[in-house]
Amino acid sequence: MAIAPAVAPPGVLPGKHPPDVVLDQVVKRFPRPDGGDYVVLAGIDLRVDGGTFCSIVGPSGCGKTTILRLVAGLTRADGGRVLVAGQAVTRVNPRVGFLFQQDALLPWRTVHDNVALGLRLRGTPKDEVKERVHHWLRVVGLAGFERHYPAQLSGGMRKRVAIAQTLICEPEIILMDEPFTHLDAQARLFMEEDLLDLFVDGKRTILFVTHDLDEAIALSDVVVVMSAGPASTIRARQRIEFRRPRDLLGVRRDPGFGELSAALWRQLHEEVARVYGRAARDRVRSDQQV
Amino acid sequence: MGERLATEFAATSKCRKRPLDGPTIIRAAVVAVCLLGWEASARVGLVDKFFFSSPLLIVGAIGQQFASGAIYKHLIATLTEALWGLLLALLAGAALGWVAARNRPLAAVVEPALMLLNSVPRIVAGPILIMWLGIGPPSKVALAFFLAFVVIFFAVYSGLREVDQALVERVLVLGGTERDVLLHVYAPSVMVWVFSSLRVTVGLAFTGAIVGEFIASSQGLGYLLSFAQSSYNASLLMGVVCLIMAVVMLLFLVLSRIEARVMRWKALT
Repeated sequence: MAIAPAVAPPGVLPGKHPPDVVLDQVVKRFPRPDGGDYVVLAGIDLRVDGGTFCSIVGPSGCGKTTILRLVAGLTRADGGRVLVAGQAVTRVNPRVGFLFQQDALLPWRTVHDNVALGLRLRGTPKDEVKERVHHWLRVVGLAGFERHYPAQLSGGMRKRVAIAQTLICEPEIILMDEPFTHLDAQARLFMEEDLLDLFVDGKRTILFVTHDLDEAIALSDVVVVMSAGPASTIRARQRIEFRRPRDLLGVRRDPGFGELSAALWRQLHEEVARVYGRAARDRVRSDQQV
Repeated sequence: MGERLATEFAATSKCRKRPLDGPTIIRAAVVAVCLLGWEASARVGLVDKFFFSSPLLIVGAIGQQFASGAIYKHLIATLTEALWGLLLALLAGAALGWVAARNRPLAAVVEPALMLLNSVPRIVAGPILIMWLGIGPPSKVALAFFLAFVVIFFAVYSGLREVDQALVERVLVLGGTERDVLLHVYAPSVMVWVFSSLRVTVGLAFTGAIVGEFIASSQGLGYLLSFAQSSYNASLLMGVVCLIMAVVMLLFLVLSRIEARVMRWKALT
């Protein structure tokens, strides 16, 4: 596969140390309709070293997505600091690639134009755009679909368009918010393998939000468990030492995998129980009032 | 996979080009039977030609208008008024809708006012506009504008408010500026709403122009209607009605051609 020298092959960002991501006592509140504040994050301390893959797991509503949005610069912290490569995040960060839960492709643009969007917005010369789009569509297995619209693709294909759209900009930090939630089990395994091939090369810093603890362990270098919201904090932090490159099915059969999974699940389980316990208590209380 | 999608796509576009499918034939047959029945009843005296005319008499009446060339000045007058009204309504409705969607205090004033206008028959403004602007074309343009404007305002206004915020953030994250967001997300989203409102507003613009002419004017299809009515010329009356329908349908056809081209992505969803 011949690539013109102007086009960097996937994942090679020469001579740069991937940026560290640091959250230092980060607080985030949202206004409530009654005029009060809903505290989502109450003092998050998280350090993700450059080039590592960090998964964030936690019960629904604990603010996982909010952490990613803070790092991307899509929202501001109400307290503490968010640092990328030592610099405070003050605006949407162009070094960041963000894969959303919904594959937010522009429905009125073809596959080609969706993938090209980031480069065009950055004013990349036309010839180079064409070449790089061509390259990335081949990487994600969608060569020949250039002129299709998102509505004509399956969920998995749209997800791959979104991946190409993100990676073509060669982000040094990649944020992923439950990117595979809506895919079926087989498509999911394929996407996870692609993810390892394309993203995990020690040259990018990755924050990955998921509900699935096993997925987190199989993919990551570090798994962080958050406490239940409101006012979430980091509850546990676990290094995952499986050697890379990893075979996803093989890793899941490793005896160490079961131990890790059990240990982290105990932590997560208590937090999830808190969410449900609270809901149950509220239900009992309202029954008594009746 | 690619081939399958490609053939599916070809199949849908072929469908649209095939005019002689089952329903089309049935529709044509029903229309033909009705017309023949009408013509026959008129000939044998079952229906009164004076009040109900007959298909051939109607064709004759309208054919005579075209043969003498008298119709063109009326046709052009109405078309010009309706299209000017529509164009101005598009510009003003889109502009006000855009500004109101981005300015809450203004929206708080404008939205209820236009909501009220939207729920009353705006055609009642006709006599007032004619009093203000005279019996010439400007009062008809104003009435067509007034009818269409409110609908276009709401199309743009609600279209902008319902823009998918995930797409906005997508463009920002990919390095886009505010201007890029307007260009790549807001404008295309609103186009969807404007196109769907155009089906209604084209009709409204013609209603405005024709009713305006009907109230007071010296030319236009509305004037011709009013003239035919006062001279008890049923054939001409019905002929003009058919002509108006034909003109509006022709405009719809042009519109759907444009829409199919601009909104190609939409047809696939």
